[in-house]
Amino acid sequence: MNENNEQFNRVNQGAQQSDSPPNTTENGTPPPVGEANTPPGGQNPGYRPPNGPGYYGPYPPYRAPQPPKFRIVADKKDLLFAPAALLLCAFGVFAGLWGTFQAGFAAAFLLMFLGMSGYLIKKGNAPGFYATVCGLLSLALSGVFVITSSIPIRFFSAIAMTCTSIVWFSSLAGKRLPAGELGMIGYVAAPLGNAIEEMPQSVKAVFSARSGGKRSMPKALLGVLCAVPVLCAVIPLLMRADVAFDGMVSSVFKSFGSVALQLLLSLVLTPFVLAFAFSLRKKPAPPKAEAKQRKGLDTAFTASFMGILSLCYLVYLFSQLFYFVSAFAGFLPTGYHFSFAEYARRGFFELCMIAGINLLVLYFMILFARKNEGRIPGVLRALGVFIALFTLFLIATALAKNIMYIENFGMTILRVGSSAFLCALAIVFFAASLRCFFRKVRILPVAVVTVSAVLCVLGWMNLNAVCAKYNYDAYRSGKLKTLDLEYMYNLGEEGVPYLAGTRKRRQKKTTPRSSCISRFRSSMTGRTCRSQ
Amino acid sequence: MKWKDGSEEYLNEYEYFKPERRKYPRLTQFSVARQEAYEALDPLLTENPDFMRDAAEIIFR
Repeated sequence: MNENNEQFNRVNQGAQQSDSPPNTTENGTPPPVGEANTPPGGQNPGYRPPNGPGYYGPYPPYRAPQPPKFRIVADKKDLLFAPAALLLCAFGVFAGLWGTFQAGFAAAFLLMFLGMSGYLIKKGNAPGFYATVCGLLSLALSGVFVITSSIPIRFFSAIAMTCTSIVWFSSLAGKRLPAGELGMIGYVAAPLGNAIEEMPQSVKAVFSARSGGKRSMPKALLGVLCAVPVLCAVIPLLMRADVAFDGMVSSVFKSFGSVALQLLLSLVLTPFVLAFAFSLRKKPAPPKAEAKQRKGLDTAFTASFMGILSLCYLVYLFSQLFYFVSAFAGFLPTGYHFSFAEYARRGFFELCMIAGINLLVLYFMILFARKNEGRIPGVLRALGVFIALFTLFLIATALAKNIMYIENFGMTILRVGSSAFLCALAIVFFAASLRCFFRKVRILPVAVVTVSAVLCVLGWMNLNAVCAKYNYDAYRSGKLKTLDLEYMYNLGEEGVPYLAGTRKRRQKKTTPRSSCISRFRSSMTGRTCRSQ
Repeated sequence: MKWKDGSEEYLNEYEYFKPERRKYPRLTQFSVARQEAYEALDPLLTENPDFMRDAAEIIFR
């Protein structure tokens, strides 16, 4: 019995090691049903023993033939792109990462954008309107890094730049935005996933590529290595010959550790960029999977869920009548005195959160509602539109509150930023309510473009500078009673001209010089909160 | 080299305050906001070089 088992295991291992599934016929098709487990010498004439004669074990299960594995074979264009990618990555690391994500980062992105576009562009493959908008937005977003020093705006701009540029590159490579509500996520994430997956193969493809029957890349590298000893002799001579060159090389050697780290990082980044570009250009799009017919959530469940929410919002709208009709004043606490400041201060961020929750509810309804031939049932459409309209009302209220708040207490990044976010949200809600009626409207692509455009506007107008200027001007004109110097200080470089301005003004006002200097110093370093 | 208060923070960045450097700012660290900050501080720094350290801190912190 044990001998039989050992023999079976050996045979099975042999079957697993063989290249093709053993129980396929000569054409590679599976044997007919009922014949798969036919023992040798039985009724099946097409039977082929997996590991020669003497096999008596059960037959392994049938495995469908797999599509051939994707392999990268580098051509001339790829070989030209590889050193360019190395240079672009080195510049990106030097100017972008080491340059604190300022103008150098924008320049590195611009060069990478042009290089990658030149590599991916194909004849007769024009990118669509949406991809063109995304490409232009990504370029405009890179300009934000030249303008502002605001960290949040640069951080979110970098994310938006990544998304929009991937859409542009994918479109250049001939890949179309897949259908479906969530198609956008895969469209942006897949190239990044492929880049990580194909990194080793891309490097291998570059080094094993043959040009004229010979491998050129290893020989090119050998040439570079052989040039190093000669450079060691030439560079010191050039340094002695010229002072400027001497200074340049000396400065490189002074920060040798930093330069070495930059080079190392470039070498790590290059395979990623190569794999990203190669997989976009060469890897075919996965075959369209047949859309699964999801049953979706029962309409009664979804309608009751959204109905309760809508009822709650209806009650809220009713309570707002106080502000217009005095008969409803009984809702308010005793002793309440209406003031704009109180009205403005209360509830702005709560309204923002409700708008966010409503967007999620509406989006999940569109995703998971049970549909009749792709159409959302009428009752859900009505409830969805009500929630969308209610949210637009909330957004308008929140914006009005915010404007009042700014007029009374000045401008801050948070106040303006959240208002801009609300404007973007309003456009997305408009798209979501359209989606209830038109299947072609897709919410995520609209959201990506809207948020990118808003970030672009905030970055190009330099939000920090606008806040500093508004507060400074409002203080000078008497609109604001106090000027928060600590907040100006926290605005960073954008606040500096106005801090300097306050110092100049105070100096003109007969303030003793020594006192003025100390006040300037303390204001510059944020040790006082408010000016007199 | 140290500041008057004995600290050494932002000494490298201090180089950028020199007028000859401000004319040709480094691409890697350039931004419109930073340039405007330099220009606003320029008269003050010329008048009171003691502000250097504080100005360096406010820009490069």
